[in-house]
Amino acid sequence: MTWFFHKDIGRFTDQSEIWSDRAGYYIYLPATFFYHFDTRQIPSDLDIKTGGGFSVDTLTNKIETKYTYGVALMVAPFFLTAHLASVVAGYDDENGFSVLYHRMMNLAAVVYLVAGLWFLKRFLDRYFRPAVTYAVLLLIFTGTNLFYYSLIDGLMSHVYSFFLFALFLWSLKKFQETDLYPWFILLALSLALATLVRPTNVILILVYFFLDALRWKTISDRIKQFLQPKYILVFLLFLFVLFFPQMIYWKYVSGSWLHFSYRGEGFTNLAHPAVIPVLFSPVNGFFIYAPVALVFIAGMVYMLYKKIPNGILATAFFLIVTWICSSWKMWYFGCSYGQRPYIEYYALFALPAGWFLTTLFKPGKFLPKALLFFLLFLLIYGNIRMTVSLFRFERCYYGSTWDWDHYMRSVERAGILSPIRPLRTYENDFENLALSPVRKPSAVYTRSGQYSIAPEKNNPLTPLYSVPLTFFGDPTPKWFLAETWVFKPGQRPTGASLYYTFTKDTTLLYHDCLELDPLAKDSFTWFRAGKTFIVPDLYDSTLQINLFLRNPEGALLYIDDLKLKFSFGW
Amino acid sequence: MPEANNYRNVLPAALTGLVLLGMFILWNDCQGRRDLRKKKETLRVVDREQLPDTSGYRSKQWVFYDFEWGNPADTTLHLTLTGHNSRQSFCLKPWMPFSPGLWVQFKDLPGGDSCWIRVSGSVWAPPGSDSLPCDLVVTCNHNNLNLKYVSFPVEEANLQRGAWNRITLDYRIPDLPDKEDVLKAYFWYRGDGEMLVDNIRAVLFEKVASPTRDIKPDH
Repeated sequence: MTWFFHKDIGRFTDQSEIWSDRAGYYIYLPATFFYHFDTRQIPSDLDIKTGGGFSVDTLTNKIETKYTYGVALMVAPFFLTAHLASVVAGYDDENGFSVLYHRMMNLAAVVYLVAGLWFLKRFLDRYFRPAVTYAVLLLIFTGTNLFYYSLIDGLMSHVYSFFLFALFLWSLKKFQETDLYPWFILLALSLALATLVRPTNVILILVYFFLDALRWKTISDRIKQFLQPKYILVFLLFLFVLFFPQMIYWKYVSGSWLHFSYRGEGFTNLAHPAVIPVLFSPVNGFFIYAPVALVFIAGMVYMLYKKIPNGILATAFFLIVTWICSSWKMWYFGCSYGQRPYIEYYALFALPAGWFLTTLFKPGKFLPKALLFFLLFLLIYGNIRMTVSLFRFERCYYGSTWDWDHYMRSVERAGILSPIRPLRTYENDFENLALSPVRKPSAVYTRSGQYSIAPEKNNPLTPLYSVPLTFFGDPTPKWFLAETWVFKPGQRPTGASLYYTFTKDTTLLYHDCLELDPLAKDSFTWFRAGKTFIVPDLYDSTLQINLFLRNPEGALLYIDDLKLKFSFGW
Repeated sequence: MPEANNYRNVLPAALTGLVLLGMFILWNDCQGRRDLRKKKETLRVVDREQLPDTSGYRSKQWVFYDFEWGNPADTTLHLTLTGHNSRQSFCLKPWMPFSPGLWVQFKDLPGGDSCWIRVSGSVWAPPGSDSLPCDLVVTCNHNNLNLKYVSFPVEEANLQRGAWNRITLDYRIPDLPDKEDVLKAYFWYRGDGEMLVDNIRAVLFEKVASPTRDIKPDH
């Protein structure tokens, strides 16, 4: 399936496997085996050709990537296989960027997916009957964004983390059952590797102490056991051995053994986590893009209510992961499909899902059960269609934080619901950087969220919105209400206006504007600017509606929370 | 761990769920196809609107200019002593680029956007002239804004040189915001010479409500 998805995808496009973040994870391999971390050996535009996931600094002779090398380590066997095959066949390996390497990376993700599901099955077998276990695996794979991040964006870290989580849970369970040391070694290795792949995964260590723990004494015994030298030292040894090459890289790139590579990012919202958007926003909201996750929540509630072991653990992990995701500066994680940081935790959330399905599988009324099955199948069907639609049309979600109109049209475009509704509203709170009309949004003055936009000084026209008239279908709108919030720090007139144009190709047919200065009663106060603009009644496929912020004097002002409402009658 | 026999009605329930999903997909597909058909019918972008069948409409001549009144010696009237089957016509010049035509407020028009107007006029194509830079224009005006401006370039018509040619333009009257808005139709001469127009006519087609026949203009 992954090769089917990628069969017509060339290299060096945003749909190819080694691109952007994925290239940032991958670059360790060609940099080690082909370029020896020497920028003079790298084609000058390789970082640009691969979507900017890493950068080549020829001045300092450094290859910089903000990601750890865990994913590269995991896919290294596939990389070496591709290299070996290229050498044997006399095929040009293009220093790790030939088609063969791309296909091997696709394969790596699938192999780790299958292995992860297999280990998860072995783990779940300790709790549920096979029918429930298989149903849980089916639900997790097809109903969530694990499907997307294993078959389409397989070089992201999540499928590898998922595999390591599943391996950890299975080996932990075996260790708890047998108390044999090799199982501990396996779980310690998987935990250390998971931490290397994604440092926040270190919280998985809590599972070691709390899984199936019914009493506090069990927990304290486990802590004591873990602190014994033969346990903790082997774990720390794994951590050190795995992180040492990373530290060498950090030393190489920054001059320091420990280095925070996510400059300008980080957990900036720890005190004010964006919990509601992370869970429910149309921009990659967890439940919005993996509604099957409601089964996890239902299972958690059931486990807590019935006081089933691990209910508190699963719930606590859900809350912790939610808090971690909500605290990240870019809480929607860029051009993602859903909240991808949850993916690895699906291995743990499989427990509540299993308990929910166990209750579903119990004897009971036939019709509610059939309807519940229908709902689950529908969510799986919807997830697969959304995944394919995202793959085919656009990798980024070009909607605002709470723009449900845009989301519903995405669902309709995916063929889940028909017909596709016409465009009625448009919103931009400028939080989604994929929608930002300026290169750098401002975080100085904001009316809502983290960002507003300030017009660039050398650009008198900042585009706020543009749409071809054909986008509306039939009928076309007769007018629209444009409303935004403006912040003017100074008293001086700016000459700025909200500027509407109606164009045919490059010809201006009609324009109108709303002067902003008369609306500003006080400086340093956000004020609302709204006006109704008429859309001329013309039929033509090249007609376009455009809205700009016109700022002829390059004055300093800020715009936030733009809303357009199109009306189709007078 | 639940007993195996507890699962005996799971499979039928799951199969029923699958059948329901199949029915949903089929229903959704039908909805989509119906919408697609509708879109194909309504979304065709055409160069010119055309009222194909006038049988479902009641017609009324709204204006007619034959330019037979007035004295051609009065230069302010821009008349010439030649016409289409008549003695006079209107002469368009660079300083008089717009012909008389239709000017009517929406409050005086019956119906709404189900009405059409057919504007026509005769233009004289001089022998040996290369082109006739002129448009037949129909437009609606709201507060000095042309909301639906449609023009037909006369030079693109297959004109017979040295003869009067009939130019016609159909126009679907749009739904406008204000009853004070104006519907206009006129010839617009863009050249630097002269051009003759005659017999400018505007016929309004109002849809007749029929319980048995619902004719929708194809636009």
